[in-house]
Amino acid sequence: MNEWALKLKDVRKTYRTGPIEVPALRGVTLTIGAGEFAATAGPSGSGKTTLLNIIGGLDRADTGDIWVAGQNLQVLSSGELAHLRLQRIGFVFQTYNLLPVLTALENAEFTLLLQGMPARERREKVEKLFSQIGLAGLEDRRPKELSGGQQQRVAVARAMVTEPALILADEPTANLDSASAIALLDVMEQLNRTTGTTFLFSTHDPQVMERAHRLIRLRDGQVVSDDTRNSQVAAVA
Amino acid sequence: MLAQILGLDHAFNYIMNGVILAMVGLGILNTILMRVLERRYEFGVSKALGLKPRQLAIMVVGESLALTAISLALGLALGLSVQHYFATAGLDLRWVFKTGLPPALVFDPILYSRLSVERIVWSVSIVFAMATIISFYPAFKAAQTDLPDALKVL
Repeated sequence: MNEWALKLKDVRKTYRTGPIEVPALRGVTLTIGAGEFAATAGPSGSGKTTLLNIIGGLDRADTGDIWVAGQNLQVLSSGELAHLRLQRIGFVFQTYNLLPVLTALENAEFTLLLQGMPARERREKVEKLFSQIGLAGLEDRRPKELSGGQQQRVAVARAMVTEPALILADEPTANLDSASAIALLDVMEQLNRTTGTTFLFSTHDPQVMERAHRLIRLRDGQVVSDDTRNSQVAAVA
Repeated sequence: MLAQILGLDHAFNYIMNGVILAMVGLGILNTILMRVLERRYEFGVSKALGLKPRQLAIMVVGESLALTAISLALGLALGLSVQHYFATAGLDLRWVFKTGLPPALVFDPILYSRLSVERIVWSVSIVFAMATIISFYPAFKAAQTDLPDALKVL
């Protein structure tokens, strides 16, 4: 069993549009331990989202090694990456990315459906999780009938329901009001504590930075600081 | 002479069938391709959550075949109803030739349609095979859905 959830070694990524080259990551080396509640922060264009996309296998690095759940993502095929995402990684997106034609429950159970779990088990599992994170009674509502905070909690449920080793959350509070953001962070921190799931956020929300147990700052595609003080505070507490 | 006329008639029939099948094929391709393009976001989310490209392609082909099967069923129901009417009541040409048929024409003024089971099976098989082959391209396009670009909210 690995004591780390993910490892990055000299990861580089450059976006090319015709003759224009935009370096997004310039040699990021990073290790996130299993069970950490960490955040990457930095201004727009610092490479936060690119980093999360590469860790989640949604995008590929140009060079470097990315190890997630014991597998080197650089050598996996797109099918193998999809399998890894389904089994080991949960995603929470800034814009929720729920499927509008599905109800909250159907959205949350979608990943379980892909895993081949029978309908009754899926429903039971999602309903249990919904009641834990304050979504009980909203199962049959479609995304447009939910508030931003509720939609993001459905997205968290969708990410959590498969019990992944790692959850990647790309600016999860960016579209939420302050109260909804705090409620969402409470839910995620509680899940981190009770299940030991590793959380890695990208954010420029001070509330998230404050709550993260480890804060990794990025600028121009490079790690400029890695503050684990919050982690020590949390561990002492 | 008559054999030549009949031969020409058959050839014309084949050409017309070919044109109709080409139109049907283009219609199927357009429908499936538009559905795939419209659902880029949905496919992107599904892929991000763990749906494999191969599964996505199979899903598109499967949906296309289901759509084709439903369309064929509706088309057959409508077509067979019309065929049944003309097979029993016939197409009465006497209203065209009010004064009676010209003496050179020696056929029954009421034409009854005939449709063989072989012809139905052949047509259905051709359309189904065509839909299957045509759906491969949209399925390939769906499987190639770019991540993370496809996740951008519309």
